[in-house]
Amino acid sequence: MTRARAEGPPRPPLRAFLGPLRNATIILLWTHLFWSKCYAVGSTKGPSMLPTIGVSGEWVLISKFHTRGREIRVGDLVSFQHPYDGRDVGVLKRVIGMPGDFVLKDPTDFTGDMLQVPRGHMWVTGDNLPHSVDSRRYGPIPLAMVNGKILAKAERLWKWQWLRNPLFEGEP
Amino acid sequence: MIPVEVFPASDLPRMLQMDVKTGRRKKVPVEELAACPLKKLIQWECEPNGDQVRCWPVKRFFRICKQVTVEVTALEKV
Repeated sequence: MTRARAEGPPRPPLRAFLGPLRNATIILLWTHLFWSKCYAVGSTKGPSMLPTIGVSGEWVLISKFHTRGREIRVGDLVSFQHPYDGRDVGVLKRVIGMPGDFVLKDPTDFTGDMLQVPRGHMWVTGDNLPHSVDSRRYGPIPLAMVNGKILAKAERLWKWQWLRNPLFEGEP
Repeated sequence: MIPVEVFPASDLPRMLQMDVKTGRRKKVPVEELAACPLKKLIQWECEPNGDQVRCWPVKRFFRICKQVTVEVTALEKV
């Protein structure tokens, strides 16, 4: 008994599809890994970080090696999840206090009230104090919500400027 | 929001002896604040002025000790 072979155009070998598909998948995975675990670029908007970062249209380079507050110091700029608006909303502020540090509750109210930053938390404010919603409103931020540290900013993607920590890398 | 104890700056010497992890008095006393390096952080009060933005500095001062960083803006005349 013999089998009849199907007539028609010859089918392309499966390898012709699988090769590029495999390469594309590998590139996609490495890009995702690099973006989520190494470095990412994001856009900013809002007046809370004036004059350090403009109101709109600026880009920031985020180091993901500092997620969950790893090696973050007072004076660093950090990106973290908004405490009330969910994981998809990122916030960018300056760290004023790390766990155990003592900070002024609000330097603009002149009361001199202070607090100690609780364990596992950080105290953050925007650089433009009157137009920033930050720890003065929503309290200490859990370090677990830190997405990364801001390393540089750019008005245009080809014109980057490194951001220094004014406490440790600025003038004495 | 996690509750935090707010205290007047004049209570800082007492609060410096508290351990944030245990809430008890520290076994090892914190070094003298005056011996720790003093650092300045400038933040701003910015207001739009037509097409431009005008900013006024808000200076904040910190003593960077080995064990703890303490904001001394309300305590020290710099």
